[in-house]
Amino acid sequence: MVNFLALLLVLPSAAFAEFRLCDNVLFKDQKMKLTANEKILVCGSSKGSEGWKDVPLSQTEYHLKVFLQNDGYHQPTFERHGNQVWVWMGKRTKVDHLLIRSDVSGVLDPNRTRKIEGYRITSDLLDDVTKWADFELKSNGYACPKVDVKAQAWDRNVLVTTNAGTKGRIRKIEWEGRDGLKYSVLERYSAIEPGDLYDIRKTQLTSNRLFADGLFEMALTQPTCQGEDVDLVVKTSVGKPRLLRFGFGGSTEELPFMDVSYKNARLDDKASSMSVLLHSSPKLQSLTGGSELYVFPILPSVFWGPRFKIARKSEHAFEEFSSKVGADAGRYWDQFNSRWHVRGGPTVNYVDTVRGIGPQQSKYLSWEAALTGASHLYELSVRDQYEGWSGRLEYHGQRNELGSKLNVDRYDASLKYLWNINNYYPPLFVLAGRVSAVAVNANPVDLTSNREKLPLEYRIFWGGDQNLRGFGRQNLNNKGLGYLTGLYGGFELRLIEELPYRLQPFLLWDVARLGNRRWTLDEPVFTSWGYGMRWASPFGTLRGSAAKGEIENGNVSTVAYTREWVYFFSFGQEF
Amino acid sequence: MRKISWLRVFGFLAGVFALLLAIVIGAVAWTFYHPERAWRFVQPLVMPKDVQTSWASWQFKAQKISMKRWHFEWNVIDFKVHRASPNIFLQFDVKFAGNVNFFDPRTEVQFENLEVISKSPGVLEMMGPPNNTGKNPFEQVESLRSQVYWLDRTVRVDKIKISVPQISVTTATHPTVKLNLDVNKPGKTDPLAVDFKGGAKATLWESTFNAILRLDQAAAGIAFLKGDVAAKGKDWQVSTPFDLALPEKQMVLGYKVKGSAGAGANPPSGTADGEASVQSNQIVIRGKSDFVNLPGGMSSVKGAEWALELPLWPGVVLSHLASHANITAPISLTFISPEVRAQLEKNCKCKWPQVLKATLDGKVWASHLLDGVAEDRPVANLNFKFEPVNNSLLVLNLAGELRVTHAKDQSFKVSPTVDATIKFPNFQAVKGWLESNRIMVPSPFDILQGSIEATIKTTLWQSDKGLVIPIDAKANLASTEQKVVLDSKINLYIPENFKSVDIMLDFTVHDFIVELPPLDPVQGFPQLTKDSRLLMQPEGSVGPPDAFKFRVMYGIRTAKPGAVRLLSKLAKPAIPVSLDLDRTARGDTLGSVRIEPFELNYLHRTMHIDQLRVIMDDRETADFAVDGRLRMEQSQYKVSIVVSGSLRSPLIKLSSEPELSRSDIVSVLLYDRTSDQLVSADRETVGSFEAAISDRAIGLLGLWVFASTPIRSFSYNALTKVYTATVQLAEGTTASIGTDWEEAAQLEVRKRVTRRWVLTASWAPSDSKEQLGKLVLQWEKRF
Repeated sequence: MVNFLALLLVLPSAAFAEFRLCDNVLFKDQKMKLTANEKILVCGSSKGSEGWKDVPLSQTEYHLKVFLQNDGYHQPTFERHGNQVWVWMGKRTKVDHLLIRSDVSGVLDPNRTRKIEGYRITSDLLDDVTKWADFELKSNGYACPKVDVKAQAWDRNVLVTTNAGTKGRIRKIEWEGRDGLKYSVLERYSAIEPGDLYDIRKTQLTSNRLFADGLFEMALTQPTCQGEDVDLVVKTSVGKPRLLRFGFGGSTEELPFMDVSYKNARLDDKASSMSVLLHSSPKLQSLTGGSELYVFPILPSVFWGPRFKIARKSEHAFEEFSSKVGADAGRYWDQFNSRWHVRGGPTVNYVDTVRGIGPQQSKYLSWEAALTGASHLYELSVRDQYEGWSGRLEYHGQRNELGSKLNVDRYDASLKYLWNINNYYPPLFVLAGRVSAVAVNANPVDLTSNREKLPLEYRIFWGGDQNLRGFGRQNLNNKGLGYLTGLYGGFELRLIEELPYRLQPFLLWDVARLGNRRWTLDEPVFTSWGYGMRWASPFGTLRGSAAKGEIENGNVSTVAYTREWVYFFSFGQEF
Repeated sequence: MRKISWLRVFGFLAGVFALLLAIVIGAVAWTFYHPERAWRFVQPLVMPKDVQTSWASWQFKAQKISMKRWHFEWNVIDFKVHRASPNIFLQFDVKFAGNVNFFDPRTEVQFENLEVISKSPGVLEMMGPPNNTGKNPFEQVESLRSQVYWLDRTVRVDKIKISVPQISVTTATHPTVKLNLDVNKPGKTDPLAVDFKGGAKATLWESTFNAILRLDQAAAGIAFLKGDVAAKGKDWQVSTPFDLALPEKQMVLGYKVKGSAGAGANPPSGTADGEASVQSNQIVIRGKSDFVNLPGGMSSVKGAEWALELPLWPGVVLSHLASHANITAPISLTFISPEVRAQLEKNCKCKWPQVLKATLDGKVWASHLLDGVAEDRPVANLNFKFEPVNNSLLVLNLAGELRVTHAKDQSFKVSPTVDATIKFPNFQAVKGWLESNRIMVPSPFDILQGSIEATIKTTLWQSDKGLVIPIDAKANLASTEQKVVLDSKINLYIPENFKSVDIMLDFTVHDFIVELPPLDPVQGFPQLTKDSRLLMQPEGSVGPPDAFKFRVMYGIRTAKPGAVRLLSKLAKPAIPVSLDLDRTARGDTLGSVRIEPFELNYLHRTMHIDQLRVIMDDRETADFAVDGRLRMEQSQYKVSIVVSGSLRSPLIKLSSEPELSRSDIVSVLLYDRTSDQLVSADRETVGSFEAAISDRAIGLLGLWVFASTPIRSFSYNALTKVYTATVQLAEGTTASIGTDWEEAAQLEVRKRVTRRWVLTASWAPSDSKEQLGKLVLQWEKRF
C-alpha cells in the first residue's frame, strides 16, 4: 500500500514530458500557464503585425523570468538551443516567516494569519498580505494607515512595515447625493456615528445596507483623516424609486413559481416604502403587501407598517387558505456593535383548513411581535458564515376577549453563534452552534382532541435541514398534530479553505426534545449526527448533508418515526 | 737693501706652525673635553640659525691606539632638533664607535658601530613651490658617483643600525606622508652589504621599499643597489624589482613593473619591462608593456612599446627643451568572442580586426611641471590615433589631440580634442551581436533596419563637474510599417576622480512610428517588470557603495506634434503622441506627455480622444497629474468624459447631450441606455461602476476598456478597492477583468436572455426563519 502511494506521488513528476509553449519555448521540468497577452510577449503572435510576429530570445527570457518570479519561481534557468529557449522553472520559493514591523502593537498578529507561511512567494500573496494588514488596521481605528510589504527571497521572509498613525474617531458624517432625502434616512442605515472609533467594517456595512435597500444605485463611504479626527463622506446615487418585476423560476422549496412584484422605495423624503408581491406555485399562491411608513414627526426612526397577506398553501399534510391584515410599529437601530430590528402590532386573521388537521373558517385577532438582532460581524460575513451571532425573539398570540375563540401564545427564541476558532484569518475551523426554543401556551386547548382548533402557525413540526437533519422535513409531526413545546440545539464544525474549489466539509450534530403539552418536554431525545459539504459557489451556497437520526428512550409516540440516513441538498440555505 | 735671513724666516714659520698646531691640538683637546660647548660653537655654522638642538646627555671618549690611529666613542642621548617654521622636529639617540687614521694618505674612517634610533615620531614640513633650480639629473648622477666612490674608498662600516619608525613629511602640494626607514648591517660577517627597508604611508596609498647596497660594486659599473619597490592603494597596486648601476658617464635603472587597478576578480592589470638611463645630454626611458582586462575585461594590450626622451640642460633639474614621447599599443578586442567574431564576419562578409593599433606621439615639457609660472604653459601636446575600421558593420575613425597645460593657478588642465566617428551601418548585424551577448533589443525594434551613427568632433572641455565629452548621435531605422528617426546630443560628464560617468541625452524625435503589441485589453495587461516588492537580495548589496556609477539624464522632445505614433489595431490611424520630458539626476521625470486627437475602436464601439495630457511634476509620489477630454457617441447621446486628478486616481466628470444624471450617463456609457431601462443586475453594475469611479479606483485604462467594451457586470469592493468586471467580447464570449474570483464568477451566472430578460441565480438572507435560494428568469422595469 505504501509503495502504491509512493508510486502515485512519484508518477506525476516522473511522467512530466516536455511542454512546448510555442516554437521558441520549451519547458523542461514543469508546465507553465500564461494568459493570452503574456504569451504574446513571450512568443509573439501570428496575428500581430510585423514587429510582433516573433520575439527575440532575450526578450522571451526576460518576460518569462518576470512572470516566473512574480509567480514564486525565483530561480528559473534558461538555455538556448538554436532558436529555442529551454526553461527549467525550478522550485517555488515559499514563505518561511511573516514578520511585522508596526508602529502599533497588538493589531497585526502573524500567528493569526493563515495561507501565508509555507505558501509560495508571489505577487498575489503580497497583495493578500497587504489587504490583510490594511484591513486589520482600518478595523481597529486607523483610518489612513500606510502599509508596505516586501518579500525577501534570500531568507524567505515576508516583511510588513506599517505607519498606522493615530487612532481616529469619527468627527462628522456628510452625505453626498441624497437627492432631497432627509438625513434621518442615512441614520437609519448607518452602523457608525460621530464619536465612534473608525472601523472600516462599519462604514462598509453602512454602504451595503444603503445599496441593498434598492433605492440607492450606488453607495460608497470614503474617510478623510484630519489628525485624530476622521471625516466620513457617504456618497450615494439615488435611482428611480418604482420597480416592477416579473419573473418565474424555481427554488429549494418550490418548482415552478412565478412572481410579480412592485415596490416603491421612495414614497416621501424619508424614504418610506411599500411593496406588493404576487406569488404563485403549486404549493403556495399568495398576494403579500407590506410597507414601512416613516410618518411620526418626533420619532423619525420609527415606522408604521400596514401589511396584508392572502395565501393558499398546500403541503403534504394539509391544505390551508388564509388571509391576514395588520399593521406594525417598528424600528431599526444599532447598539452594542449589533443591528437590531423590532416590530409588532395586531393582525386580523382568517384561516380555513381545507385538508388536514386545523381550524376551519376561523377568524381571529392576533398579536405579533419580533425582536431581531445580529452582530455587525455576522452581518458583514453573512455570505461566508465565519463569525458573529444572530438571534430572534418572536411572539404570536390571540385572546378570546379580542376577537378570537382561543387564548393561545407562541413564543419563539433562537440564537445562532459562529465561532472562528483561534480567530484565524482566514478561518481554519468555524464552530457553529444554534439554539432554538418554542413554547405554545394554548390553554384551554385539549392535548389531543381539540388540537385542530389551533392554526398551523401555532404548532411545531420539526425535522429537516433547519433543525434535526437526521429526520425528514417536518417528519416529527406528532401524527399530524404538531407539538406545543420544543427545545433544539445544533452544532456544526466546518473546515475552511483547505479543500480546493472552496469546498468546506463539516460534521454535524443535533439534539432536540419536543413536548405534546405546553411548557413540557417529553421523552425521547432526538439526535442527529452526520457530515456534509458546503460549497460557497459563485452563485450562492450549495449544501449537502448526510445525517442519521437517533431516538433515545423512544416510546409509543415515536414508533412512526424512522431512523435512517437522511440526505439533504439545498441551495441558498445556511446553518 | 736688507738681506733676508732664511733662518729667521724658517724660525718664524716654525713658530707659526707650532702656534697653529697648538691651536688645533688645543681645539681638539677642548673639543674632546667639552664636546657640548664645541657643538654649540659649530651648530650656527652648519645648521640654519633658527634650528634649535638639545640633548639629555652627551658623552665623547677618545682613546689613542697609536699616534695616527685613534678610537672614538660618541653617545648622544635624546638628541632633539626643532625648528618652528617650517615645522621640523626630530628626536633620536646616536651611538657611534670607530677608528680614524690620521695622517694616512688614504684617510680611512672605520665605523665599528653606528646606531641612530628615533625615539618619537618626527615631523618634517617642506613648504614652498617645487624648485627647478639645481643640478640636472646627469650632474646629480655624477655627484652621486663621486660620493659613492669617496665613501667606498674612505669609509668602512662594521655594524649599522638606523631605525626611524615614523617621520611625517608634509609639502605644500601634497598631503602628509609618513615615512619609516630601517638600515641594517648586522656585523662583520658581510662587510659589504647594507640592507635598506623603508616605507611610506599616505591617506590613499602606501608603499614599501627593500634594497641592498653594495658600494664596492659601484666603481665596477655593475648594479650597486638592488631591490624592489611596491605601492598600493584602495583598488590598485604596483610593484617592481629594480637595479641601479653607474657605468661610465651614465646611470642605468632597470625595472619590471607589475600593477593592477580596480576591484573584482579580474581587475585591469599590466606589466612594464624596460630601463631608464641618465646620459650626459638626455634621459631615455624605454619599455614594453602588456595590459589585460581593459576596461572591465573588454580589451587587452599586448606588446605596447613606448619611449620617452628627455633632454638635459645644465643648471636646471628639468630642461626647458621639449621631450619626445611615443607609444604604440596594439589593442586586442577581447570582448568579441571567437563565436561572435565568426558571426560578425559572416554578417559583414569581411575580416573583422582582432587588434586595433593605437599610437600616441608628441612632446612633453617636463620642466613646466615644476616651474611656478606666471602664464599658462604647455606640459604635453600629444596626438593619438586608432587604426581605422571600415566594413559593412562598423565604421570607426578615432583620432585626437591631448593638450596638458600648467596653469597660473598651479593646476593642470587637460584639453583633449577628439575627431571620432562611429557608425553602425547595419542595425540588424548589431542586433545580432547584442542578442548573442544576451543584450535585449526588444520587439518591435528588433526588426528595424538602418544605421546608427555617433560623431565627436570637438575639443572636450572641462567643467566644474569634470571632463565633458559632447557626442552627436543619429538613428535612422525603419521597417515596412515602422520608422525611427531621431537625433541626440549626448554629453558625457567624467569627474576628475573617475568614480562615475554622468550621461546627459537630449533627444529630438522626428519620427517614431512603432507597433504596440497586439494585446487584448480585456485579457488584462501583463506585468512588464518584476514586482518591486519581491527582493531577490538585500537592498544595498548590489555592489560596493563606491562602485563606479553611471547616471543617465535625458530630455526627449518631439520635433513636431504627434511625431510619436503608436500603431495598434484598436487606434485609427495610430495613437499620436507628443513628448516634452526631462529626467533629472535625482531620477525624477518631469514634463508632459500629450496624446493628440485620435479614435479608439474596440468591439464595435468608438471613443474619440480629443485631448489627453499627463503632466509629470510630482517628484514625491510619481503619481502624475492628468487632464483630458474623451467623447463617445452612443445611439442617442453624446457622452463627454473630462479627466483630471492623477494618473493613479483620476477624477472623472461625466456630462452628456442631452443632459442626463451621472448614473444615467454611466448607464449609457456601459449599456447604451438609461438606468430606468436596465434590469436590476445591470443597475447594480452601474452602481458599482459609479462607486469605483467616485472612489477613484478605476484608472484611465479601465475607463477606456469599460467605456469601449460591452460590459456585462461590474462589482466593486470598497473594502479592498478591488473591482471585478465581466465584459462581452463577442456573442457568447465573455471575459473577466479584475482579481476577485468570487465576485467575478458570481456575476457570470446572470445570463441575459434578451434585452430586458435576465436569468439570475441568487439568494438573500432575510429576517425570516428560512433562507431560500432561487433561480429566476425575470423582467423588470424601474420608473
